[in-house]
Amino acid sequence: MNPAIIEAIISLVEEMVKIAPQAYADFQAIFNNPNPTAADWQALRDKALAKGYAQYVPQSDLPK
Amino acid sequence: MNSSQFASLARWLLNAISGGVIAYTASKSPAAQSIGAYIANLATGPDALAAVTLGITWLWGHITHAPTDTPNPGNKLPALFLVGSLALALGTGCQSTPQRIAYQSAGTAIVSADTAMQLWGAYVAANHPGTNIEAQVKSAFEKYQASVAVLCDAGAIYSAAGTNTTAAAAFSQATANAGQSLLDLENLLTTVGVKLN
Repeated sequence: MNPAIIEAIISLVEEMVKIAPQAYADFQAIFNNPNPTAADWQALRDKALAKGYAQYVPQSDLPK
Repeated sequence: MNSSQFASLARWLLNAISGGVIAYTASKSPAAQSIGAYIANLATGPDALAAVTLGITWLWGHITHAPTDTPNPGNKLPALFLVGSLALALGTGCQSTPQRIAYQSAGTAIVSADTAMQLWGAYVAANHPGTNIEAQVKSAFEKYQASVAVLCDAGAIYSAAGTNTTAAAAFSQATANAGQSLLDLENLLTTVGVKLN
């Protein structure tokens, strides 16, 4: 791979660490899994459903 | 590196890598000689997931691009999606199985949506856009969650199915549905006024 691209990728990852460290950590876990199993998919499902709208938007104006 | 330079770099990288992934996928396709046949093959091929997700995230970054220097709760999202796409592209190397690519793609979408909703929460706290709009976003988000649940169920079956074409087809359909629901959610957030770049 072109060294300029590698350098650019490193810069991009560094930016991501700054702006969204938790998301970066999540991506790392996902991309470091060489052989995802059914249990991994279940964990992904649990993550997607872990929070409802009210948890994401605690100051919502919608009726509780 | 300021935010403008970063955005330019990210867009350039995404364009370059998207092209590379598409070329790589096409080179593996028996229909590589025909662009039309290749696109048609994308609908059913296991590498479709990478290409479709890249396309969605590419669109995300471009559709939501708005010239503003005002910081806002949503301005992290394009970078996040671009990096997610980058990781996705890098994950489609020769050592990746279709199942691994599928898992990475779904994971990228889920992490990205999680971040999008956190930013939406910050936007609501700052702007209180109204219950009608909130209800629309809530509905779109719940539709997204339902489609992702189906996607993960299909993914679990696909991961154990090896080359089972029925499982692959079911997973491809679930991917299309989840991708569309994620795109609908993003479009709604943009329409509402969340400035994403």
